[in-house]
Amino acid sequence: MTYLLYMKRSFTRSPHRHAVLFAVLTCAFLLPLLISIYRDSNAWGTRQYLLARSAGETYHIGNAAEADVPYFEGIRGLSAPVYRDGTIYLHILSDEEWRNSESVTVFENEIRKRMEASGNEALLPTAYSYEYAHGISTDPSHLSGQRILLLVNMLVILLSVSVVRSAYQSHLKRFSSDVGTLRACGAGRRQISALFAAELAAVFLLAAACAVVISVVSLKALFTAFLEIRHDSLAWLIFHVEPMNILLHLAVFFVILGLSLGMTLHRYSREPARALLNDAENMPNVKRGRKPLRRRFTPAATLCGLWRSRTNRSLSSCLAVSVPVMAVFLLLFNILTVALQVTGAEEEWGVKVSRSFHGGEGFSAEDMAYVSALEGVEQARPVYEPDGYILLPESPEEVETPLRIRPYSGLGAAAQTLSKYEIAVSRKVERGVGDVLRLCRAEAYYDVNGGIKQPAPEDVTVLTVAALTDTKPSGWALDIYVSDELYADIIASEPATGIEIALTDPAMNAQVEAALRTHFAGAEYAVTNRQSGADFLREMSSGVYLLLGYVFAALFLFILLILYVRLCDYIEGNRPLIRTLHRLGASKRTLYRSYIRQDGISAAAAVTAPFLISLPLTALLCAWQKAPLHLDGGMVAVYAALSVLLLFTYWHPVHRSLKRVLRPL
Amino acid sequence: MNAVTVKNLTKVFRQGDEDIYAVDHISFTVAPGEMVAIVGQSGSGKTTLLNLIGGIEHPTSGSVEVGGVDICSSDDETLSGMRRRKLGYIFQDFNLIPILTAEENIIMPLLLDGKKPDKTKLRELAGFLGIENRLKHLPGELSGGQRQRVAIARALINDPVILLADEPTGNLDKKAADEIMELLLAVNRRGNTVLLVTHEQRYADLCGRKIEISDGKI
Ligand SMILES: Nc1ncnc2c1ncn2[C@@H]1O[C@H](COP(=O)(O)OP(=O)(O)OP(=O)(O)O)[C@@H](O)[C@H]1O
Ligand SMILES: [Mg+2]
Repeated sequence: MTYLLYMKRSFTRSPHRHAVLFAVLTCAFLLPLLISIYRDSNAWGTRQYLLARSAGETYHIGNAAEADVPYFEGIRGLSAPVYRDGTIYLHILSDEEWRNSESVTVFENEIRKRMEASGNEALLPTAYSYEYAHGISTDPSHLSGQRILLLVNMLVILLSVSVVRSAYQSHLKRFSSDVGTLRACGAGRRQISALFAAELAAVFLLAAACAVVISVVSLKALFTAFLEIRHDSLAWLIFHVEPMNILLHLAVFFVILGLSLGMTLHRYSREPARALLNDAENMPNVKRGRKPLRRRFTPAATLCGLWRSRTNRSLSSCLAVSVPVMAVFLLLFNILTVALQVTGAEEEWGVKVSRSFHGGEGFSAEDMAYVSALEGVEQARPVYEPDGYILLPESPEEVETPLRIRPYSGLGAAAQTLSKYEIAVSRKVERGVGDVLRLCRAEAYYDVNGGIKQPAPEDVTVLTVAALTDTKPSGWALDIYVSDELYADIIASEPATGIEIALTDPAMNAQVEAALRTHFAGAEYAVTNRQSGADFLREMSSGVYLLLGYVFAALFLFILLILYVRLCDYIEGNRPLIRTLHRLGASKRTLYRSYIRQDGISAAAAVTAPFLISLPLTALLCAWQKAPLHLDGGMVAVYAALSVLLLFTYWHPVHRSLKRVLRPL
Repeated sequence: MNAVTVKNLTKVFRQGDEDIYAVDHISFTVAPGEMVAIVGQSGSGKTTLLNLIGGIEHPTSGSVEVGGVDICSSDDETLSGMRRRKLGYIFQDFNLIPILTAEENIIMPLLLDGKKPDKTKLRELAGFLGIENRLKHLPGELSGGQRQRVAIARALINDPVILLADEPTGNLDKKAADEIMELLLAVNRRGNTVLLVTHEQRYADLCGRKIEISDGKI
């Protein structure tokens, strides 16, 4: 009963102190929750994407007809075939075998045999790994993204925890004299602890509930409106809340706050009640100043110099919080702006239709004419990506190497010119300058019944590696970059394997894509719509932009609150000092100016330092990404608005507290 | 013109529902160059009276004039200027600034007035008060007596026309207290006005005039 009475009294006597603690706690909980929910959604979306793509099956055999199904029945170790919408699905029954690449190859060979037996040449098999089919991502960029998010989450938790702890301790400090009063009135240690624990629990639960509701509702809205964009009817980000993660976050905060309360109460329990009663009047401990006190032009400047050399700790701690946060935010904002310019750019060749060419067939002149005449097509050009070549093995024990042949001049800044039979390869492959490679048409090497034969000497072209490139190797095939002369020879004997299309208007991409799909309907054709991919990425990045903006807004609010509380505390703590100086003849105006001046210096640093830190970093980033450094009006306006808000947050608490402290003098 | 003119001065502190008349309709004048002792029991209102004269506290009613300046009607700028230039105040509870060394505390009134501190004067004062080897210490590292001497040095550094001394000998042994008293008398002999609050009858007797207050009244 007495607890309730005390609590009621303490709430009614200083409601704003509890309100500030509540606001700080809510903001502190909100930040890591936002990041955690985003991380959960990212993981969940990817999982759903993989599951939807693989349908949980190992093999998808495309272009199938109902009549093909019986050919795939009764394979030992595989499920019975399931036919749906032109695709036959099968999966490996034993998870062990699925995970084992050797047994997967055995099954693959079996399926190939069945495909040949079916006589349907259009069948297109695709295999999914165990992880893929179970929604476990192995994509390195996704995994590193998740790791980065986890790291950011933990950093934000660390930041929040430290702020929450100091905010709670300063809150407790305000009530230390209450502990003294209670003790003097005969309250036991246990009773006092229970009292503060009850108060903490009340504020904690309220703040936690608020933070959870705010984060869930606002992120759900943001996801629905911007982030859950579907590309090929699949989204990579799907709003998802992992309750365990939320509970874990709250538990961390609860333990930290509980410990800090426990430690403070423990300290109080060893001090006599009298010391606690006077605690609020004690001046903050000040170490001996290293810099001597210097006389400046005006008394206010002299005092300001004194504050800066002896009592600047509060202001430097404000800077230590606000500068890194602002700098990181500006940097992220700049990175995203640069990224948006790169991804959001209009694709020069927006749509491409390509054909895998069996038997040397490609696109004909009529095909080209048809595509050029389509509505929305500005220009069409043939693409030659000859894949009918291999590298002969160097000795009979080795196997041939599949090839991708590209023109060396297509690399852009070609470092040197190649003579006709010289080539370049990536630095990353195991070939060096001076190596001799033997190029050969595939049909001169493979014979019709699946074996190999010795190619005739006139089919073999001897090439010498003359240069290395910085390109990334593309995986299964070796990329070689040949001279323009040789490339011209090669494509002269090849039909075009693709047609690239420049659109009259990027918005026409869907219409052109549809027209191409109907015209080139065979299984050997594939249509790639790069423009819609770019549009998707742009839409996606604007969602991320917004999310980042939102997270930052929460962070900024949090920082402002902390600054406000710290600065108020600073001036309040200097009350005895101000009184003494006033008695010695410092006028109120001099005192006011000295503190505002000290505050102003810090505020100026808080506004300029983040800019000075982030600008060179952005320039560096742009130089690295070869993107133009650009400061658009919107960015400058956002920065200016933030600066004004920051300046206000520095100025207002000092101004208000000073007025309050100076008035009764 | 009088150095200090006090007319019908009253200061009331409200403590809950109770009014405490710390100073109750007091009137007196102090001529320039006079040395006046103010005596009275603990809690009789001596410190409050000095605070009113020093312009630190605002009177509930009545008026105070110090060196021709009317305390009640002057703004903060004028009062602060008067405190810096004309007044020296030795506070009962010292009021030293904890973040400043003894030396910096002593020269603070000069700095607040934008004046260049006079090093020889500082050394002379510190030497006389016996704190010359404690000048680099923070108040927290000084004894009560040493703090008192720093407070006295600070009050005298700007050659005040009027010196308000609130029990300047409270924390000192007899010999040191006698020396301080000697110093105050010397200051007075130079033509400065001194108002001294003291419990010691001996010192009160050394002053030209004695004002006795009890319960805020003379
Ligand atoms: N700020 C204040 N608020 C309320 N009451 C006060 C305040 N200052 C002084 N008083 C009261 O006014 C009366 C006079 O106090 P004052 O400090 O002037 O006494 P004093 O004569 O200097 O005593 P001492 O010899 O102990 O220093 C006391 O009863 C005191 O309680
Ligand atoms: Mg007194």
